[in-house]
Amino acid sequence: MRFVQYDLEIPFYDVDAYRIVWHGHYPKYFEVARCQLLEEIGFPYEKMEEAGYFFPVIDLQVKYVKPIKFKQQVKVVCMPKQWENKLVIQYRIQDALTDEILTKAQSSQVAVKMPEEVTQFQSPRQLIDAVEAWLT
Amino acid sequence: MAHSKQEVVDHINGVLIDLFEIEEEKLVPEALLHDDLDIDSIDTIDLLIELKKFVPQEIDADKFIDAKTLGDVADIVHQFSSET
Repeated sequence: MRFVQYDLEIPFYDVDAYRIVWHGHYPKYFEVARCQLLEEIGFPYEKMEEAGYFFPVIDLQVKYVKPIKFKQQVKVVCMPKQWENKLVIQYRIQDALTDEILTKAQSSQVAVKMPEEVTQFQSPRQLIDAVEAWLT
Repeated sequence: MAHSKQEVVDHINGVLIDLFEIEEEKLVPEALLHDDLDIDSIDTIDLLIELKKFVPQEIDADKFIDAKTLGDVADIVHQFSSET
């Protein structure tokens, strides 16, 4: 399965009193990786909006397998898992040197037709085509 | 393979129990998805994804937008199920 990788060194401002990444910062890492993925797929947020849709995150599950520390070099790997009715993206944060899996996560997004704000039960054709073309 | 209406209803009920832990006695045709079963638009998408595995042909997701009751959902799924 094709994936996108975002490399990161953990900055001081992301760690808490235990000197590990505070759990609330992880969604930002996923967001950067997700934007990179959508850019590579060719259907980033700007194009979604031009097509008449917002694509809010409606679900996020995170499993904090191991703590991530200040200055640790990590890679956030992400790939699309489902896209026909909602866009589900799977993430793994791994140590850049050892490949050890530190975090597992999954986000879901749905298309919302704008400005009517109507949740769509089917992803826009442009997104489906873009993901399937990128994967082949 | 086409499914009978009862097979469709039984399958939908099973999915609702598994996905959303809805009590079986609430699963009557006139049950309102939102008000009686607490199924929101996001839950409906998850339900749709599960039901697509059951129906051997593509389900038009837009048909679900107007579905208000469990009976409506069963009618839509049965319609797609019997069109094969």
